[in-house]
Amino acid sequence: MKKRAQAWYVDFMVGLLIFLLAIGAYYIYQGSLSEEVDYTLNDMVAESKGISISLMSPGFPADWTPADVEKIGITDGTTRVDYDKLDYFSQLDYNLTRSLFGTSYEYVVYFFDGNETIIMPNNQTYIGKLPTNHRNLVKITRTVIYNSTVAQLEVRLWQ
Amino acid sequence: MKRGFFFTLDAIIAVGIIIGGLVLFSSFNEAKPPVLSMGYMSNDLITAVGDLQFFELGSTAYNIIDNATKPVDTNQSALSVVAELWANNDIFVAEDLAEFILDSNVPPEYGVGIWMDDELIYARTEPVPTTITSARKIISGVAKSSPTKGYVARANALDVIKHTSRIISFSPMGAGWYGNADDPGQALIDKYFDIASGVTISSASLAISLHMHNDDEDWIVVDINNGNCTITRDEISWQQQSFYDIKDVKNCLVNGTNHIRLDLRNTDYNGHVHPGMLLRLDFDESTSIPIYNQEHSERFYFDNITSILSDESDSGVWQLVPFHIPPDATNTSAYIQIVGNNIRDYTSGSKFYSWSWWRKKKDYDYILFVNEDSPFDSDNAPASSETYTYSPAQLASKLVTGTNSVVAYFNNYGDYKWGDDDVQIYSDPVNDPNGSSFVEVNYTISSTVPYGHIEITNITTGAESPGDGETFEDGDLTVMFSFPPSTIMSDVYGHLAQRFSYLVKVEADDYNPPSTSIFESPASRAVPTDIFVPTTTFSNSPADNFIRFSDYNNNKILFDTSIEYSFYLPGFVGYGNLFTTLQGATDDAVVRLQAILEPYITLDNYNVDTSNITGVPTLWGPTIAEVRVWR
Repeated sequence: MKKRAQAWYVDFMVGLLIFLLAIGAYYIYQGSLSEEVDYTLNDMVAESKGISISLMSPGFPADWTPADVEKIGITDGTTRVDYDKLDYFSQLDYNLTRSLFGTSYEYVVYFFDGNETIIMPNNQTYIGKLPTNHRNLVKITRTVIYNSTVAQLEVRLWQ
Repeated sequence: MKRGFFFTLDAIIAVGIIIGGLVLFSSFNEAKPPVLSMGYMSNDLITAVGDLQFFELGSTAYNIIDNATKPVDTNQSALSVVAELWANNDIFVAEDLAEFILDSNVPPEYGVGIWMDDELIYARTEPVPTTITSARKIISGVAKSSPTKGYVARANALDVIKHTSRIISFSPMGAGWYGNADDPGQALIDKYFDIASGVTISSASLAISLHMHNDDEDWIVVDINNGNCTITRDEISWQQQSFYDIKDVKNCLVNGTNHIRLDLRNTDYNGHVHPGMLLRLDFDESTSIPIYNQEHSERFYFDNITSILSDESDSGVWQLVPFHIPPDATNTSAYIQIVGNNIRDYTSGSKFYSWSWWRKKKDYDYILFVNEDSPFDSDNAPASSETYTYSPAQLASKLVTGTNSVVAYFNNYGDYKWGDDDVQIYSDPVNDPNGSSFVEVNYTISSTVPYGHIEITNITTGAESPGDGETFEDGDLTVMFSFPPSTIMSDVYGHLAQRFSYLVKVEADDYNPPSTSIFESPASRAVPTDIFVPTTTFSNSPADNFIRFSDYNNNKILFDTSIEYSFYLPGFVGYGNLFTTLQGATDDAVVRLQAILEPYITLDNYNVDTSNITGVPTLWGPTIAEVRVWR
């Protein structure tokens, strides 16, 4: 009777110890992971803003083409989308656009009219790469004039 | 066996707990995509609605504005149309249009609204706001309850009727020495002046201020226009030998050249004009808008004065002529011509024996003073008729800013006279202007009056009862006046009225008592009726201005002492409010023009320029448009 009670007590203590060690190890790991996530998200936020600002501009040169583009912009200098520039943007190599945007993350750009996704002239619904198995994702929404309508340009940056 | 089973079960439970905990905690850290749009949304939205042209909104938008009570300009941005509807008080139409623009195009998870000058136009009710961002945009040419297109007008007077005044003064002068009732010494004075053909006199008063004898037979002292009106000595109020009165002479005057003859006699002394002898005209004058030159040239003619010799006494004449030079005058020059007739070349040299200084030089048959108590020129051996001329170079060092006095004497000075004929200072400006006695003054003024201004002259006198700014001591009088609002000061003259006069001092300022010295008589009897007062001592409306007159011998300054002040009224008004009709804008411009001219000027003929400002930004507003976005 005595031995059985003692054995349960030892088992319990060992199990509890293992459990506490596991919990402690998790929190140590999770803490470093959280700092890493915070840094990454801040970086992604900054880069998503930069991409949206670039897209809201006329780009450079102001009448850029895929052959001479140095900065990707898709408006005419106001909030109005220039369809030629939008088409050029869609034709550019994805990795080239990432380079021109100066980002190491993946991105995708949509246009919305209210809640409806706008289908672009080339029948695309987005430009960029759709998120797959992403760990982090930020999105930023800007307002533009698309086809004589107030619309939203949404940039999603992910990894 | 049982114990081993028991241990294995515990381990499995512990591992399960650990795995469950890890899964649970891991799920807490799965990142949801953050939304970073709030800061941009309001700014982008107000910019986009400002960039979006109304016609791009399509037929639905046109159908909405069809409900507006006033038409709106559709050739502008959607935001401007909303603003214009608001300005036109079509609030519900503005709300419908704003809802149409925003509601279907802004994601439903956002709240959005638009305000004009903090007045709500349209706002979603959902979601309830926890975080709000706002962006504003200035819209010019729009103001609440003001039309944004229509007509504006400005007007300028072409022909007007001025209600103004003028003073024609007699400066001190004299002759007419002794004699008796049957053969008096006389001073005959002839003054000529013009009244323009476009003038309608509303009142004319002759202030008579003379020194004559008060006994013997009555005679005609004043003759206006060769018998048209006459005033005898006994019709003039008097004290001792000082005659002072004011007579209505409106019906005596004519348009064109007028002539006033004064016949002054004094069997006890000499007849002469005292300060305050003047003709005041209040009149309406039809005129076009004048152009004022910077170059100024004016002749001040002497009055023709003849000393009629009596058997019992000698003759002699003297006369003072004032002229003024404004403070900002440049290139100033003056030319003087004095013409004397029937002058005696007196050589005995004993007339001034009791005097001192230059007066001991005795027999100056001709003496001329220019702003000083010492003679500027004299002649002790004149021919019977002489013409004395003085060039600008000769006079340059004697001229002063403000009131200048020229006093000429022939065969008399002080109480001494020695003429033996009808001595005369000759002047006939109507028939013989270049052969007359005159002072010609030329100068350039640095600033001229802006085009389109009309000069008006007002006259105010000292009051008969005590009031602000006026004192009633003998020999000391202060008169107050003010320029009307929105006018430019022109010339100001003080017109001194006295029964007897010696040396006077004039001070002026925009406070009381005034202390800036304006004029002091340079010599006895050098007391002009007209005293120029520079406007630099005064202030514009609503300030009160003061001019103080004082006599060193405490001779009374009469209440009829007056201030003649001139000012320029603008004869035009600029563009005014926006009106929906051309007639409304035109009427408004004329009413505004009349308002600034009255009561001094009646509009006779005018020009109105109108402008249709459709599509042109106006000076309305600006209005602040605001878009708020919230979640």
